[in-house]
Amino acid sequence: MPLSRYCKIYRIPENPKQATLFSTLTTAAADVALEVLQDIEKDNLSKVEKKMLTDLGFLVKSREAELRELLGYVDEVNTESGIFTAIVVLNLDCNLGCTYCYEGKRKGKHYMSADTADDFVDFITSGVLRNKDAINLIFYGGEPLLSIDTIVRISKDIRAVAKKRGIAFGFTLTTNGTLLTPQIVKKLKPLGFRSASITLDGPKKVHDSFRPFKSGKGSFDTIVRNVKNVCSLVNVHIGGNYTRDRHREFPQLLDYLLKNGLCPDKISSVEFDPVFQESKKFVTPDFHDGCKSMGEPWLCEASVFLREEILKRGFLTQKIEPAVCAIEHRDHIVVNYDGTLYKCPGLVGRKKFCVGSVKSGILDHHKTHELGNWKNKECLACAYLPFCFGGCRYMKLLQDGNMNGVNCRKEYFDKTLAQFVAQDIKYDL
Amino acid sequence: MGLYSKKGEVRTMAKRITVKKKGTKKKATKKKATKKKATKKAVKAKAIRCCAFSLVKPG
Repeated sequence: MPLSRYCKIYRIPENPKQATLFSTLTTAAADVALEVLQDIEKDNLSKVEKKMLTDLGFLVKSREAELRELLGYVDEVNTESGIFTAIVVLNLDCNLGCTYCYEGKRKGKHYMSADTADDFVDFITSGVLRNKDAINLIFYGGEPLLSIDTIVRISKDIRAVAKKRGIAFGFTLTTNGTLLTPQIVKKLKPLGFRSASITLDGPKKVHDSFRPFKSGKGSFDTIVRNVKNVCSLVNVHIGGNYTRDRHREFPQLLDYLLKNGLCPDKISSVEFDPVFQESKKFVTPDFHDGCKSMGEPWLCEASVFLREEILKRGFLTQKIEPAVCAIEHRDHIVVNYDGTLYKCPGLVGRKKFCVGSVKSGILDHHKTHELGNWKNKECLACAYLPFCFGGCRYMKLLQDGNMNGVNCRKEYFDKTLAQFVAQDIKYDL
Repeated sequence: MGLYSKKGEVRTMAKRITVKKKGTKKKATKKKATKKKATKKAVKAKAIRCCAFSLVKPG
């Protein structure tokens, strides 16, 4: 039996007689003696070993059959999906003035009207809920809590219909956290509020320089106070956006959280991601510290370093697992404040990538969004395909000004995956 | 047959293979995975990601 094309083999420096096998398709990992690798080549394994390695996804009956299965992976996700997810951009207004905000000059006093909110409810309840087990809304902005009445209006109506049809309903907030008080949480929880994703960009000094209030005053203390007050009422995820120059200071934030009682039992997960450089058309002209591609060497080092710092303090973070870009996913949509539909929050407001409206429904977008762009010889031969499926279309757009072709992440995974796998094993993720 | 350690690691007699992480169980064949409920559960486990990294959050 041949090795799966999605099996990576990593040498173990402290044990030269063994290697780690890792499947990018099943995420199984095993340490094997080097002679096992030779026995795989010679088809000389015992029955027990063969079964074990096949069950884990390291051996396959046929590499061609495995490839056929992968080619159908995204279609299978779309056919069998029971959950519809909508990111709802309630406004493009904000009480903060973040230096790097990717919405930049698109922001303004733009709010979803009551009529558009009602049209959105119709769009969900009359069409997309057919054959679904669950609906998940992510209220987004700008700052979604500046539109609290619209959150209540939408969630009340959809929740009532979902309940009648036996469909699970819940929503999360992607919020800057400055307005998330216990009173707000108590008001929203009965309507299906499940969790809040809140951004803290490192320790106070760094965070306040990146994410001040519009007045220029720092927002760190307000956000931390709110997190402390609500973390026992609702799940809180902490996210942070780092740059090359400031990422080494982020562990100070983790220590600060621990010191202030915001321990892993109070915080659902922590994840730090790099700030990407948006087009000059959108971000503030003086922000140039964004990451331009995943191939930047510092980024590989930073992502492994920060993940280790999070895990070693006992916080949960994102697992290493197969993932499909939301653009490829049929049951995932972004609704702009004016009712227009997009496939990714990064594309909101770029008319070329509008895929319909809450009135017209979702229109065909295969060509404009390069769906299935990963079905080419190079990607199909790549062991990282299950983690990538063509990568992030938005990042491709930022990098090259177009979506023609894939956003290849091979170099990034070559430099990081072995260490991510070692972390997953070490911390039992 | 394999031996099972306290942590659930499976070791062969000769300890040539140590499973560190079981991962998602591989489907044997498509034909065998016909039970609707089982299929749905497996597919739900497949992650959808907004992009390679999370987008920077709105200010």
